[in-house]
Amino acid sequence: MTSGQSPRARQVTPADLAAVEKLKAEGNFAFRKGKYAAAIERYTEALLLAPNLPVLRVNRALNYLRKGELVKAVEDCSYALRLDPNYMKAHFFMGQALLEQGELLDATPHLSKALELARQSGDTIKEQIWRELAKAKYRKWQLEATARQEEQRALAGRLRGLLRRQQDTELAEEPGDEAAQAVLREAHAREDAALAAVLDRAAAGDRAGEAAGAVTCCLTMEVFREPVMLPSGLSYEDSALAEHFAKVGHWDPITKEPCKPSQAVRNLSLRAAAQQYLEEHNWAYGEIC
Amino acid sequence: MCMRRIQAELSDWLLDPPEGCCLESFEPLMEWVIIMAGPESGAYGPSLYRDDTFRMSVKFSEGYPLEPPEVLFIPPSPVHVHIYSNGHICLDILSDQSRNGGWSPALTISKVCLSLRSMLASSTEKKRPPGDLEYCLRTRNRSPRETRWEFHDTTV
Repeated sequence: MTSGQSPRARQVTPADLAAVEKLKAEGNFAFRKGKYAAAIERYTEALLLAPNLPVLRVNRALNYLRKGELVKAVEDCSYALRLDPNYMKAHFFMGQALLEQGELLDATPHLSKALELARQSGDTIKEQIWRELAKAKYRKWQLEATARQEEQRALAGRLRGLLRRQQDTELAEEPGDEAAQAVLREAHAREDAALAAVLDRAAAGDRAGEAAGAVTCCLTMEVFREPVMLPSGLSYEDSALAEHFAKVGHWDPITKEPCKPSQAVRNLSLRAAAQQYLEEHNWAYGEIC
Repeated sequence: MCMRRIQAELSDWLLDPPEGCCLESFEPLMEWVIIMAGPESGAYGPSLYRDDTFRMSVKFSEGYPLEPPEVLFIPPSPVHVHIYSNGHICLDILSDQSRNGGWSPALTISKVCLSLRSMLASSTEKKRPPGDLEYCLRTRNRSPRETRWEFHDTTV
């Protein structure tokens, strides 16, 4: 092949591959040292030899991300995802870069996809992804809640004005009749209280509080992410329970009954309930991120 | 796990502190100082500590909440049959040596404070534990977590 214009046209030789591996290893080393610019140089050089190796794009994207060059990070991730749509880290870094850019709506599906893929493969990076996803959802909620509050405040003002005008009209229809006016005033006070209660209930959904105990792990005090259940029927966050088994001992942290780590089974129902809780109480994401 | 968990407990405490308690300081995050008002009423009428205020030191370890926090009164400590004059407290939930009762990661500092207040409330006599002086000399500058407690009395 000699046309040489399109990157796809060029054949990668075994010698190229060896060079690519070496450059990649050097890039990874530079990254671990925090030398992002140097790492980017290595990956860029490797990409000249093997333009369609997604791992090079993704590794370079992470370095761009750390350097704050978000547009380039997104570009590299998009490229990698065209080559491999199920590349977990490409989705993760893409989501992070978009999140940093404030593109919350675009970030969320990538982070969700990354979490799904990491869960399938059991990659420990899933906790990090989970927190980024929580951050994206929390920021989205903050924006929406602020807009909703303003809308509701304006509407509340108008409703109160309309009600007051109607009440004044009714009072004006009974001139001089003290008793009838007193009855009306009492009815109006009840109306005012009822309207205030309705408006308060509408605003309550956006008030942050303490997450419900039923979907919270008593070890982490966070909403469940990967709950596992022990023979006692009690559920714990997987990573926290693993830490308990490793550092403290093989018993149920609350009932103290002896049990083996292998007796912990995934509690998918509780995970679904926790997820649903978070969707209905978006403010609760704030405690996770 | 420990830092996030302490952070979560702190948020909950600030939202809803246990009765009669307030946080004097939580800096660094691993070391809290709590001010506790003596309970108003006890088992038989007004409590013996109703006019007293105490300070408590809480130290979390890296292993928290899997291991218990170190909790003690900053002297002068309440005169109580389970509290030594150096502030060490003989209370099963603060120890991980007893497998029945004892510390559980489901407990929180808030719950510990409530336990301590009810321990004070149910006291009928202002008295130190037997061997107080000897204990204090022996454990000078040591953490109560190093003491091997024997929990023989669960009535007070």
